[in-house]
Order: sequence, then C-alpha cells, then structure tokens
Amino acid sequence: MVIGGGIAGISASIDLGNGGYEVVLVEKLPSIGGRMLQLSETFPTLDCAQCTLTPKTVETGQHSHIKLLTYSEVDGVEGRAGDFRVNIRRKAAYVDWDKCTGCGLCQQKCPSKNPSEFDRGMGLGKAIYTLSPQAVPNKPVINPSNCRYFKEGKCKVCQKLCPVGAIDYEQKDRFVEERVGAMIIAVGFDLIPRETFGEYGYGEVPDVIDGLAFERLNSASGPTTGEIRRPSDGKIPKEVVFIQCTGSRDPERYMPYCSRVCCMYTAKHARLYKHKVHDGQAYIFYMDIRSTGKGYEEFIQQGMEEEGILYLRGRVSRIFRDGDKVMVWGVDTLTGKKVEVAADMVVLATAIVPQKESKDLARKLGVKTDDHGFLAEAERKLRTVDTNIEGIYIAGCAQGPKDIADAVAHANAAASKVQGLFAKH
Amino acid sequence: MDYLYFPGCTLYTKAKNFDQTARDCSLLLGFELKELKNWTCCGATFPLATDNIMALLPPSRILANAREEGTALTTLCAVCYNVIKRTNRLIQGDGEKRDKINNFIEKNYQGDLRILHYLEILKQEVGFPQLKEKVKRPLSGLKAAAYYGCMLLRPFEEMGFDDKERPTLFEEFLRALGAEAVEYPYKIECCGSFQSVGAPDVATECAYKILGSAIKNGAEVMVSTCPMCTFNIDHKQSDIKEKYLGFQSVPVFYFTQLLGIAMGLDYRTLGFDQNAVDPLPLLQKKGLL
Repeated sequence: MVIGGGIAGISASIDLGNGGYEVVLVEKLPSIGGRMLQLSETFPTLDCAQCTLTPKTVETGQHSHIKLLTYSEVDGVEGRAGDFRVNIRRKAAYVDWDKCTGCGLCQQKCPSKNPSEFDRGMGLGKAIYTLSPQAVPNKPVINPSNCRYFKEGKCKVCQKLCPVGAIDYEQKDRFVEERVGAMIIAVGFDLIPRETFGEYGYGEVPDVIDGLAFERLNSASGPTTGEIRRPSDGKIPKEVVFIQCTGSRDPERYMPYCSRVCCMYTAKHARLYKHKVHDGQAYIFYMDIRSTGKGYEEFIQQGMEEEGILYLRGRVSRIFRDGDKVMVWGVDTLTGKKVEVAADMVVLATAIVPQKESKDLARKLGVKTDDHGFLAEAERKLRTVDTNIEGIYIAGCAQGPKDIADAVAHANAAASKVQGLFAKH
Repeated sequence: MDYLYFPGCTLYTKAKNFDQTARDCSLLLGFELKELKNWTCCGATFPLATDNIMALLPPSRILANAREEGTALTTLCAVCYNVIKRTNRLIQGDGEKRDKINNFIEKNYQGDLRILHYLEILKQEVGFPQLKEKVKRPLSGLKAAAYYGCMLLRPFEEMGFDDKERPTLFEEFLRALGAEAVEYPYKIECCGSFQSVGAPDVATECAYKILGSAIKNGAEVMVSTCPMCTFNIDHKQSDIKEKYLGFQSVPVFYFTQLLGIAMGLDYRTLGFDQNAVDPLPLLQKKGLL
C-alpha cells in the first residue's frame, strides 16, 4: 500500500506495479498528482510540470496492478510486516463514481462558486469539482460546505442534469479493509501559512502571496490562465519582490531548518516572471543561495546575469499596504543600506512543513516523527526510507523537504526496499 | 484597587500634563495612583550588554523599594515602562543576576511585583466596556491615530503588551472613548528617539513619515503614550514645517488627555499649554470643550 498520491507516491506505485506486485494507492484528495500538479514549470529545465506529470498519473490510473483509492484516508492499521490490515475511510463524494462518466456537465452548471483551495484561494471553484481537467480519476466530488443543496436544502442542479443519475446526496463515508504486506508513506508537505507572519501583514495584504500561489498564477490552467496578474485588482505587476527563507532557517521564531527548494523555485519564479513581463523588475531577498543540485547553480547564474534579476542579500523586516502599493522594507547587508521597495506584488517562499494529518497518521501506524512532525527515518544517513516499524517505509517530503528529483529518487528507493522485503520472504 | 505609581522624570517636567491627567482620571475611574517614595530616574535605557549590571541598578532599586510598599506598580511613560518591566523580568528569571543586583543595592527583591502600564490597568482591571459606560463626553467623530512607538511593544517576548506587529489595545481604548481609531502602517515605527539630540534631521524625517502616514489615512489627532515620542512628533512639527512647506500640523495628545476630555474634565485642567500644537481649535470645532 502506498499512502499519498503525489509524485513520490505515484513513482513508488508504478515501480512496484511494474515489478508485478499488487499496489493499493490511497489518496485523500479526489485525484492523484499532489503538489506537483499545482506547479507551473519545474527547475532547472523549465518544462511544464503537468506535461511531465500527466503521463505518470494516467499510467497510474490505467495500471493493471494499481488499485486507486482516492478521496480516502487511512483510519486504522493492525498487524505487522507481511500482514497489515488497513482500515480505509472512503469519504462520501456524493457522486456514484461507478455510474459517473466524467462528462463534466455537473461542474459546468453548478451555480455555487467559491475560492478554490487548489488555486490557493485566488480562482473560483465550483461546489462539485475535480482538481483539474486531466484529473485521474476524472470523477467529481461535492464539497458540502459550499454546496447550495447541503447548505440551503435546495438547488439539485447537478442531480437534475446528470445524464446517468450519478449524484447521490445521501451517500455516507464507507469503510473498506485492505490487506497488504508493506506500506510506503508518501503524504507530502504543506506550506507554513502566510497568516503566520505578522511582519508580512498576517496574510491580509492581498498582493502578498506564497510560492504555490505564484505557481497557480503562472500556470496555464490557473485562475489567470497563465498571465501574471496580481490578486487585488488584476493588474500586471511591474515590480515584484520575492522573499526567500520566509519561516525557514529562523530557529527563534519559526522553523530552524532549510526548506531546500525555495532558492531554486524563487529563481525560477523570477525568471518566469521576466519571461512574461519583459519590462518588470524582480527583486530577490536571500540569506544564502543553496543551489546544490545538478544544473542548479547554472540556472541561478543565468537568472542573475542574463535576465537582470536583482539579488539582495538581506532580510525583509516589514511589509504593509500603502495605497495600491505593497511597501517592502529590508536591508541589503552587502552595502549595509536600508532598502525600501514600493512593489506591486510580493511572493513569499514560505517554509515547507509537514501535512497536518501526518502526525496523526504516524500515531496510527506507530511510526516515529521528528521534532517538526516529519516522519522519522530509521537512521539519518544509511536508512532514510526505513522507519522504526518493519514493513513501513517513507518517501518524499513526508520525511523532510525535497525537490522533485530527490523525492522521486527517495520513492524509487522505498519501492525497491519493499521489493527486497517481499523477495526475502 | 490602588496602584503604586512611578511617574519618572519627564512627567515632573515636560510632561506634567500627562501626569496630572492620569492622576485625575484614575480617581474618576475608581482607583488611586500612589506615588512611590523617594523614586529616582529609571535609567532611561535597558542595557544592551548582558553584563552591564550597573545600568540595571536604578530600576532595580525602584522595584525593590516599591515591593516594600505594595504588589502592583504602574507607570505611564513608555520608556520607563520598558526599562522597569524588563528589569523586573530579568530579576524574576535570572537567579545569578538577581543575587548580584541584590548584593549591590543591599535589598532582597525577588521580582514578584506586577508591572502594569496605565493602559493595561484600563483594559484588564477597569475593562474597556466598563470604561465606555463611564464616559461622560464621548469623542464622537474624532479621528484619532494611536501611536505606539517601540517601547510599549518591543521586545515582544519581554514586554508581552500586545501583538508586536499589529497591536490593537490602544485602538480599543480610543474606541471605548467613542473616538474613531485610524489604522495606519507607521503606528509601530520608531519616532527617532534620542536622535533628535545628535542627528535632529533623522528624527524629523521619522516624525514626518509617521505623521504623514496617519494624516493620509484620515487622522485628525495623534495619541501618544510616551514623552519621548511626543517630543518628536509634536514639538518637532515646527521643524517639519520648515522642511516640508505644505505640511499641515496635527495636534498630539497624551492618551490620558483624551481620557480626561471623555471623562468630562474641564479642559483647563488638562494641561494643553504644554502641547506644542494647540489642540483647542480642533476640539472646539468638534464640540469637545
């Protein structure tokens, strides 16, 4: 069983499926793809994230050895390596997926529009939704807290229109039991909420967004269909400030660790911004630049030298709204001067933190977590995919911050550990 | 309940109006400020060097003497409050320094005084809803900008006064008096402090930014908790006017002066003669005299 259908979980599942093992992939969201599906382009190659990912999600969905349980969560586990009995809650989708053909009519006609979580609150999503047009599986769910029928008792537009009668408002959570020999936990990460940062306006300045929100803005499938337009008034921002290490490497107040991907994705953001807004200026406040992957340093240098991105070594102490500008006060420690930028938009590279549920899941499985709530590996250097429980492995950002390449390699390692375990017995 | 009261030097000289209005209002609100006997200067800055014990002695002596007279100490000036509260916390938490200080001042003070700013008394002990009921002359229609400055709030871990990035206590107070509290981004910025002595231009610039930001957001008056801040944002308005010709001056009140107006005190007892920018024309226009 693989828990978590992001790029790590998908990679591990495909490895195991190709190896001939039966895989159950459990994902809490309605479809697989995880965080990577939210990204626009990826470093250091700047290729489209969805173009890289979609073949993988489709392969997972169609794989004869992979059983997808999306919109599902692990409720409890018994047993041990070789014989785990996992109780899985299949959340009520209010749509009978066996009947649903994925035609999308219900989503088109649903009258309830709400800020979309997938688009980091910027675009509008319907109460009956899939995460993307290429969702795997391409089956919608109803969010009862946004649905007019659930809130006000009337509407039922989707039920009336559905050509196959798949809408079922009476559906309840179901529980199924799966018996598996080993488990890989690949539940991924979250970002520390921008509301955490008082100095950056407690998330209340609309044009101060986080990195994932910038990914959505820049994404062709995002709320602005890929045009860089700021959330407050839809203007194209001409001065954009990027702030690295927001909440990372700050032991006194937030997270002491380095989130590992921010230096690279901030450089990527600034470059992508320049590709779309040629007369715009991008500023990056940084502490150090950590570009240790293959081709990474070259990527950063190119941004600095060829694309005119202004790197300022220092921290930002305050951000506030002044008219339609976002004032940024910082320091350039190389010149020792105070820097004040009247920006149009600010992008915070907020720290990677564990998923809220990962601690709870770890408790159910008996797996240890570290000081910050990431799942703990059995040993820091030599056993980074094993846990303290035999037969349970970890992959990707569930163990700690990683970029895509590292997360996939970690998942490949976890899958081969499982195959090793099975081959032994 | 009565509170021990440490006025501090400025409140006996340049900020008599702050002192007097606080005392008068407390009586109307049902508590008394009992001035400490034989108090001295608080030292005016909390030392930045951790081994600078000497600078901690004046506030420590004030605290030790106060403990002999009672259990809760209040003060008005934000600088004194900062020095005294931080010293108290240090004595409370650091046994080694506590012993050293006690040896020096020949006392045995354990850091067990409650240190409250006057605004904290109003919020925690009187209560803003209760204060609102006691208001005789609501400051309706007055757009007031609360100016916190640095000393009330920072360092947050030690002061614990209110949220360090976006405090609201002062605004709650103004609303209890019936005024409209103006939000503006510079309310927690530095006034320039003692730069007004060594580098007056720096302080003028700070004050100009603070006042400009408040005015831009609709402020008709500024409200301060600190004689140092008041000097920079009130008395230096003449310098600002010389540098920025279009600058329209704005009255600066101690919060206790506004409290006095709201409590129905005669304006002649509120010490407006010590305010640099005369607030009377505006108060008259607003019907608050």
